[in-house]
Amino acid sequence: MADFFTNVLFVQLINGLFIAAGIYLVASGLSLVFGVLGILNFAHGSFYMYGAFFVFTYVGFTVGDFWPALIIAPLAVVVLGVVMEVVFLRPIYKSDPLYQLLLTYALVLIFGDLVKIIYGAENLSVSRPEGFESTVTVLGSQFPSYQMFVLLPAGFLTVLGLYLFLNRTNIGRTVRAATQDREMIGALGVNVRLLYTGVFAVGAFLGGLGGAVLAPMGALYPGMDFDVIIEVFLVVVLGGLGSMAGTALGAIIYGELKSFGILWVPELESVFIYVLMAVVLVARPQGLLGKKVEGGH
Amino acid sequence: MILEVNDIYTSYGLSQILFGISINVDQGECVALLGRNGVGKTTTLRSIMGLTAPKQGTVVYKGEDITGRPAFKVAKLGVGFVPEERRIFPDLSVRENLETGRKSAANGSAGNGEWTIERVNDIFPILAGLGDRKGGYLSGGEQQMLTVGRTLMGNPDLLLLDEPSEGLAPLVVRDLSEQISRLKAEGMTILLCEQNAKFATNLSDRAYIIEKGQVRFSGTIDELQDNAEIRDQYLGL
Amino acid sequence: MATSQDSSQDGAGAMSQTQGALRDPVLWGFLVALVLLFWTPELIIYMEWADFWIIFLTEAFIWSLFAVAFNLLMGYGGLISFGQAAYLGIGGYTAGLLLKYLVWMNFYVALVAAPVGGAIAALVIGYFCIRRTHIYFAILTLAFGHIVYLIAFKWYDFTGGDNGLIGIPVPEWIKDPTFANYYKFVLVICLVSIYLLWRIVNSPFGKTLTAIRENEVRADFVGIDVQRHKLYAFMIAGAFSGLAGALIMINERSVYPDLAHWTQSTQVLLMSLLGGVYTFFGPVVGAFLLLTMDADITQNYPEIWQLFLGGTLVLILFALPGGIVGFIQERDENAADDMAVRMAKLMAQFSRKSWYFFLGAVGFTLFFSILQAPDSWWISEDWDFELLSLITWGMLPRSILQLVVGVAIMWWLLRGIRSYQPLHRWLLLAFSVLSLFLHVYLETPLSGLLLVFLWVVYSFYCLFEADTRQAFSQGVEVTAKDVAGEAAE
Repeated sequence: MADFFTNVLFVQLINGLFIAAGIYLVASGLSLVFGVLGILNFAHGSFYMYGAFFVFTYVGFTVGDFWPALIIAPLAVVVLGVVMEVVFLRPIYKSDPLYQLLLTYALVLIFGDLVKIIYGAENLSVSRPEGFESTVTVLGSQFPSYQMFVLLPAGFLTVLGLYLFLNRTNIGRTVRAATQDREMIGALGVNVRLLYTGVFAVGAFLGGLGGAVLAPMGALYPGMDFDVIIEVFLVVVLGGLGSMAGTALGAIIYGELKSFGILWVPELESVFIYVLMAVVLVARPQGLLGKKVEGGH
Repeated sequence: MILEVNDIYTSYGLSQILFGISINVDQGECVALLGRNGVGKTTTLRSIMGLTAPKQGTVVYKGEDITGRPAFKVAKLGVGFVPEERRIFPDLSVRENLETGRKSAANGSAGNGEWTIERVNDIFPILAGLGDRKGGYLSGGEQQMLTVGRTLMGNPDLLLLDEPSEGLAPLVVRDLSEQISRLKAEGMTILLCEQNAKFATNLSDRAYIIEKGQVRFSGTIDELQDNAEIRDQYLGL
Repeated sequence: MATSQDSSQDGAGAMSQTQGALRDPVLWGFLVALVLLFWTPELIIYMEWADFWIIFLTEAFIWSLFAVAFNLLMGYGGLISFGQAAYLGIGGYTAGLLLKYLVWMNFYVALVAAPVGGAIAALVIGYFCIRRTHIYFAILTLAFGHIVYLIAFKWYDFTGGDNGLIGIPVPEWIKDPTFANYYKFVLVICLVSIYLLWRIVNSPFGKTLTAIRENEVRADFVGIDVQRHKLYAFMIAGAFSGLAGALIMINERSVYPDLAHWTQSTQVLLMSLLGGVYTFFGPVVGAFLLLTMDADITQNYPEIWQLFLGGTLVLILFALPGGIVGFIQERDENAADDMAVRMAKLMAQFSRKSWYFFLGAVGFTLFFSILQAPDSWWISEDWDFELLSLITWGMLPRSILQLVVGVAIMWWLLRGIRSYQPLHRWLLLAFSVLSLFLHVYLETPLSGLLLVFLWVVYSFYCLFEADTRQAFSQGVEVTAKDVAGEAAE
């Protein structure tokens, strides 16, 4: 009995990490962009969706070749993101934040229907790459090997990569400085416009990567952008918008809560996260690791 | 002539701040902009730096018209801006703050030599022991020195200092004054905004007095000291 | 939209309140509209598509109420709720569940329960949403809106899940074959509710809300309880949204989770922006416009509805930030000018705005042409070309003709108006009927009617009424900004 109990707990714990890794991939990009540019990009969910659909397109054209798509699809999303930043966001950096919010929201609607027009409204799927279709046994419990060997490492490497990039490189240091005082960074000789485009591109890449990695795990459908952006919002509200560590923490809490919630009340598993979010909002409105900001956002 | 500001008009949104300011700074000089709070001193510096573009008039730096260029390009030409209120990056360590300011010397930097963290620490010895401390945990004086040091790391030929003595204890102001004179002795050109006229006149060669967005007096410090009327009217010394 | 009952707000007694209300021209406007619209079904009952029109108007009034309630938050409070449909859903489900499961439930009690349910839900959700400023508010309203949808969608035992609640019992009188009874019922409720909202935004509470929008820090500084005011606004919006939800539910005699879906929130957001967020009646115009386009376009092209909404949103944000009513209301008035200068300015501005309006209308018509017959760029292949039948001309020749003829007529009319010819003014009004003919041709009569309506309102407000005002007053108009400034002081 005890053995069964620990087993179930262990399985749910690991499953929670799978969910966390997936959502972190997407949420980190949103949080990074918000931290530097001060723009909450509603269309980040669209990047995720396009990442997934581009993988579908690529795999559809060159049968069986999944791995290159994992890089090519996010890069295609980067192109989309850079165009969006240059055409739509550049003219409005100095506008009212509500105005920026509405504009990115408008883009969500446009991106959403474009997917519908190009790919149709039916559910599509990408099959798992060869060698990762089955399960793997860890400590007596079975886990899908794709999640174990692709998703989890991808999430972990993203955390590590972002940490090293932000804390160990010159550009990363500049990015962190920009989250604290954007104007000053310009006066110190940094091309802020270029920095914004660059950060937005990295954000788009992460969103696209999230979509690409998660593509073989579920159906692709128009509307997945919206479903994911809500999950991402929950994560960043929990962890603190703009804080990378907070986003990681939020993702883990989100994943575990969802995973154990399914065990308890399978139908309303998402309610728990809302309850927790409500508690956090009352006790610590800026999120678990968020910075207290006066006014502004 | 390293900097020439010709008759600039600048406004924030609907409120106009500058009404035709003209200023000259020669190589190796220290020039002070004096005046009360809110008369347009900071706006003048921001207009030069390109942070707030002038509506009219020109800013010429080393013979090149830089009016309305974005701040980062102006900075790359060798203009260093030290903002008021000590805008350091609070979550970055002192070393990281300094590193953020680093960029390669513009046009050989007029023989001043490349700035390094060691050289900054040499001017501001207090910073030497604080390399790993976060900027947000420094005292006001330390933050001010860090702000200056950070700008120096960009190897500027012209330093725009905005209210460096504001809100600092008298002893710290004295230290800062010595450190800035040392910079000047090393050949740095400085344009200084101050409300603290005593602090500024000790350091400067010439001064402009600004009132309501216009230059009301310009001349050497000696001339200013001799002109009791101007001193009483604008500086309240 | 100058506020005209300022005097009544300061009076403490109920007496002066009532008297103020009686002198309120807006109240009379509402009453006249109510009487006129009330008998509309009798007027159009013999027309071919009478029931279609009645149903359309019923929906348009419900959505107008929803949009005005939403705009209390967005336009007056500066709070964009991305999940307003949640309260639409809660209202619909509250009334629906009561009627469905409690046999003894009185219809009117259930109808009253809907706004109460909406307000309570808004109280609970709002309590969390208002804790942070704009961006968090947006995220949280969206997230909470989604959970409401999810609960309706997933909780099969209670809400019926995605099968919805169907066959909800309603009184017999609603089920009349012409739909006129329910139309009248909705009309009365919606107009009364919108009038109540009008009183609310012009009350001290509404002005405080605007003051908070303008400058939250300052409002806080002068001792206004910012959080509480926001929460109240959120609850009021939730209550009226809930009422609108119940009306939609009764109209369909069923309720589905889709009522709370985020697409409905998008739609109401766009209605407000399209009509003009900084005006009270803008959302009503927006609601009619969007539903018209929905009826004329998406019956045939549902898959591009979101694309269309998104594109419209981008256009509004970049080109028409004040919305349509904001555009109409924008006026160049300077108290220092003398009479002649004022008139000259008025005419010049009218002339300029008319050109924009005209080009907008041509673009609007072209858009419909493209959707109605996507393949007939030149001469249509489906129809044999006939000189007198415009629809056989194909899109581009027809639009060019429309543009050339329109520009010529507009140019002549506006020249006459600039030299103060009274006849030209009336002709300008008549000119709008041409667009109606064209839209009838294109089988989009609703859009044509709407264009005519907007054109008449526009000409009246910007020319006839403005002219009278210029002649008789010296610009004693109270603008929204002055009011906000006063409230904040």
